[in-house]
Amino acid sequence: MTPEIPPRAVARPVRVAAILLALVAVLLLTLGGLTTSFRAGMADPVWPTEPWFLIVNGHKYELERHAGFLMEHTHRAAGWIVGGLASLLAVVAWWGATGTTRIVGLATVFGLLAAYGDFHRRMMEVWTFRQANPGEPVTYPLAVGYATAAFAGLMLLVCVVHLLGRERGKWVRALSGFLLVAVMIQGLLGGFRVFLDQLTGLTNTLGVELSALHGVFAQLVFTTMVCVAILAARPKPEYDLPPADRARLGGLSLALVAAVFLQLLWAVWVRHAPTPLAQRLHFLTAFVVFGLAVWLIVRARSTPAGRTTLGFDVRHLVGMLAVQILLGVEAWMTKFAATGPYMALPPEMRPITVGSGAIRTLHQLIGTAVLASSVVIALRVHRRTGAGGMPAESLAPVSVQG
Amino acid sequence: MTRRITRGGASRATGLALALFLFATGCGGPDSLPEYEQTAVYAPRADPVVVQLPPSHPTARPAPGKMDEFIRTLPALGGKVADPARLPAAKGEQLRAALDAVFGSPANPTVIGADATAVELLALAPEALKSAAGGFKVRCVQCHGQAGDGRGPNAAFIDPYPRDFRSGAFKRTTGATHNGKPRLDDIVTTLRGGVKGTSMPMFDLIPADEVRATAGYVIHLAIRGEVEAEVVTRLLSEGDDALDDPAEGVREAFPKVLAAWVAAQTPGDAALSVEPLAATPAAIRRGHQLFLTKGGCVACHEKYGKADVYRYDVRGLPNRVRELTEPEYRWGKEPADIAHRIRFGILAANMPANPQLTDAELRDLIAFVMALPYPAKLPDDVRKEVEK
Repeated sequence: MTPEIPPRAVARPVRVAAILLALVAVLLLTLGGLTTSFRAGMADPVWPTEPWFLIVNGHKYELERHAGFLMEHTHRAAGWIVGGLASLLAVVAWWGATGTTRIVGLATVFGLLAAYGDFHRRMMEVWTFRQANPGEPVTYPLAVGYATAAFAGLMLLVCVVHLLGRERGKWVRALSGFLLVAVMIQGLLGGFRVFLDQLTGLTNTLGVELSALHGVFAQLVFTTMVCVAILAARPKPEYDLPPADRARLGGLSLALVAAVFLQLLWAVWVRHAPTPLAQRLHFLTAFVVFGLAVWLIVRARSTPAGRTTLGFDVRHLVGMLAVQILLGVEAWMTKFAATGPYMALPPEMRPITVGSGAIRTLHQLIGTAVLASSVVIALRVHRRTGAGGMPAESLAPVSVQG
Repeated sequence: MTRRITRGGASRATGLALALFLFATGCGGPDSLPEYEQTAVYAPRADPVVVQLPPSHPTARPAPGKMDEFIRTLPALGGKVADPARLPAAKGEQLRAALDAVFGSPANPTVIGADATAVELLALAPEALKSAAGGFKVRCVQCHGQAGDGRGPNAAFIDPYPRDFRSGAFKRTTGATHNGKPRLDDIVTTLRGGVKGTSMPMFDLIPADEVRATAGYVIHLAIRGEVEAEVVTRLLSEGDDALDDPAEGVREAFPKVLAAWVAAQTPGDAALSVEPLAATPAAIRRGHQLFLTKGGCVACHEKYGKADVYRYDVRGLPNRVRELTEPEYRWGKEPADIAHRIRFGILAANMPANPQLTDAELRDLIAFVMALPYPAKLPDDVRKEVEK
């Protein structure tokens, strides 16, 4: 007898939108990584700008001359596209809800988008005023800001309430709502990192490196995107781990996710403020991540079900970790080792070469991929497809339907 | 027995790490102002000093990362440079020690020997400099570099090039001496308002005294860089001004450079008032004629700036001559701003002054320049000329 394949939790367009979003987010992360590696975060001190800024003005800038400016603005452009796709994902996901839930969910999404758009428009007016009247008191659009925050809070509330229900696909819908809010916060972190850059590091004002927070939050947002893409996929009963395997791997897979996230925290710290403590923590946590990964891989491959369900994922993880270690060594060398006149300068003040910037960016990108991979493994370990949790090894080949 | 790692434990560890991260990166409260390491030193100058520009005009502008390579080609074009790489190591070390004796280090910047007037006018008090150095490290170093050489970590990737303070020549200058050096207030204005169309941001949200202190630190770096350049040039010179002892060179150069900076602090020509500006068709026509003849503008601003024309700036780098049909002026678009640039030139960019113009002619020329970006404001005959 062929086991019945459970239906999709959400419609196919949701899955397509989620995958598209994650793919464009990889581009966004790459451009963000380049912006940080080449210290181009302030190449254009003007924020906010219109979404079509680069389309209208891009022809003025040559790559060789304005590389920093182009990195930063393509990062912004990719951010706009990700924002658009996150909005689309939220709309299609909540469209799939039923009855009142659909109406409330969609109304909240559209309300949030309208408020955010208006806030952005008014912040552009603030910038124009500031530029024309430097040093003059600025009136910020607080009312619209509060309205946007209120809609964001409402979105989160709607998502939490939805999770308490029993509707199919609730996790994808709720996460798409969370994701929309997170993408907006991430965009604002990036924008205010430019807008308030002058306050960074002061004694009596901001105090937190917004750019570092932008880098950390990016990891969380991307992880959420990966989760949505995985959860929106058609469930595959053969990927259900037996309870015994789930018990053996559950905590370990979560510990790996936590360790990798920790490692990325230290990585962001090293990139933005390379203190000795940051370097030590980054080095030491690398050993922890590697140890946990090896432990998980060995355990996962020790049973037939583990090999079937997680075989590709753990091989993928091993490969990326190997590349990541090599890149980490090279990135450290290019950042902290110096010869000639540059020895007199601290690492963060030395000129950046194209090669060193590229290696650091690749190291950051693979780090994010390791996090995504560990999240996928944790999801596969914990997810129940609803096919009765049958041991994978006992299942016959699945017939594919539709 | 294997101990299980729980979800709660992982979450708590991540939360703790996040708190540590926020604390360590700046949430540590009011003591978190960054400072240079006590062991930090100003790196010795490595790029060539331009002693004499080539006689011919440049035809292109190098990419930002190729600045030093370009300057090294100037001798082949008839120019002259003094390359610090040719200094014997011992001389280089003596020069560094002599400079450090006057200017201290990034962590403890000083201008030893500056009198009370200079300290007051140029904001060179050691406490203020020390405080400003921390802010400079956070906000300015990535473009302008630790020594203010315009060669910070990202300078190779942004255009226009960040300013190199060491030439001592700046673009916004309103002092009476017109020696290319800005008043402290000019630097404050640049910091406050940024430079439109470039990567120079505004610093309008930070306290006024911090901005003033930063301007003082910029002057500190500029004086240090100028002294260093002059001594390097003399140490490598074979002429009458040749020098053997770097310390003696610093002792001779420093007072001269400091005096020039102090002199530049006298406010500029009050007679440079161009208001009210009558932008009548007749005035614009007269201004157009001045642009083509007596003003001499067309010698560089060919086709009203639409032609790709380059001129060397004081650093030996080609600048594209300003496109005047675009309504973008980096240093202000008020009539008084433009008047100042026409009357006194822009020494940092080697734009010549125009003392030969009368005040009335200056007003006509400004009326034309301000109307240039807007064809509708130009009389028909002038517009046809401009659009040719």
